Amino acid sequence: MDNRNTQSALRNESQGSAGIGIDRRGFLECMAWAGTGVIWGVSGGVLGSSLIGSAQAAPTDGGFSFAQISDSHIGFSKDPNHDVTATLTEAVRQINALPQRPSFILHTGDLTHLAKPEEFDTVAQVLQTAKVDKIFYVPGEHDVFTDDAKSYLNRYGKGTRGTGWQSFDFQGVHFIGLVNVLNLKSGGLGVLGQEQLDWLKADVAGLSANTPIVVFAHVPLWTVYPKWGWGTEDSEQAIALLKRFGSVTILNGHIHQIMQKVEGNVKFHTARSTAFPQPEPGKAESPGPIKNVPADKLRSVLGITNVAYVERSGSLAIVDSTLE
Amino acid sequence: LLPGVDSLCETVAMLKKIALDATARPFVAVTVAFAMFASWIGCQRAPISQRSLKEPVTAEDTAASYEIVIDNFTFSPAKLTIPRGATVHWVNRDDVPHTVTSSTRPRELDSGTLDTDDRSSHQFNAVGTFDYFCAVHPHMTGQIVVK
Repeated sequence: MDNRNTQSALRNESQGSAGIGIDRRGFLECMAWAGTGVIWGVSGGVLGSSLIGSAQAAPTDGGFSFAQISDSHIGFSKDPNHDVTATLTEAVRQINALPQRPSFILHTGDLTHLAKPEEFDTVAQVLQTAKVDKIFYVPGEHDVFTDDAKSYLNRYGKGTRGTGWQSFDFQGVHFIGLVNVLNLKSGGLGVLGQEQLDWLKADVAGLSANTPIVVFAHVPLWTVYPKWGWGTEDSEQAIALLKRFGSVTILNGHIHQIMQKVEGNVKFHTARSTAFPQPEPGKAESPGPIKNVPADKLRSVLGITNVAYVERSGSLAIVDSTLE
Repeated sequence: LLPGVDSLCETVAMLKKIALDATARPFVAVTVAFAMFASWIGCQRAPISQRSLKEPVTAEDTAASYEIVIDNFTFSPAKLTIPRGATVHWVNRDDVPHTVTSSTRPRELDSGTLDTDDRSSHQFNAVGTFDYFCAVHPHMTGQIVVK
């Protein structure tokens, strides 16, 4: 572990965590069980690493972890990243190097840039090298806009409902994959649609309120910046169906940067892209790629997310690491 | 920048080619010659974007050509009024793909994927208001009014 990096991270984190009730000691305890310090050691840097969720657990080997990758945009080949396959490969290498092997990966969409068959093929070739049991996917708008998701669903639709909605249980945690990138309306945001909301309502109806819930979807399920389309117009209806649960973690992509929000028991988190960064809301004329990233800095703005779950506390800790 | 003029002059070139092919068909040749003249006039005039949009509809308008540039996730101009019969060309200058897609079905406009520097054209033969958006980035909207 790189002590210098860890210390600097601790300073950042203790400031950043002030609002969610983690003191330095509590944070150190979290580190112990989440193993995040080791992850930082592997990644060699802690830029933007973060933790949400006030896990109070003592060190334990209970629970499991999984990784999230997002916005691999295979097919993109312009500034600042002319080799998005290489950075996705690096993301997988980093996941494979994690000290605690993740049980699975969630890919939160925009696998491809233009949904071309060869782009999907490359995604599959790279991700098959991941040392995990399974990878779950939800589409981004780039994966579906050319053909209303036909190619995507041919490859990833098996075992899903509707346009790729799905849910599964893993070691007591209920995972829900939602699709909010189809049937988009002019001037609108991401949309889930009534049919999917009805399915969601039925899906969680039989669950007890202490079941931890993890939702993954491409476009943020809260309104980040509507001017750039960064939000989902009917997300509040989905959140309302989940409010009764004691722990809800929402994992999104789409905006190619980390953002977090905590609203009661619901924690929202967006992941970095493995392809290119996008500007902070309103900090540029458009949400297009940030082009002027020096080649030697690119990997410091791309990354993966690792989520650890501790059974005893029912909490999830989210740690982002860059590809450096 | 003279948006639209380049493509208008391309149209003149195309019409010249058609005229050569049409020498055996006098009526077509005359029509094409007129269109050529009208287009040539267009080439000599102010940029299309600066033209008065209230000029009467003439045969010139069927050869009229307008360009909308997609840049920084914006259709520019976002609202365009054109005479019936005119053709609108969209060109994507962004580093990400966009589409030109009618906001309502049936879709008068359905460009498919426009990657960087790709173009899409559509001739508007009916009067009306045509709202469209980018199917990848639905916050991007535009409107064509055909008079």
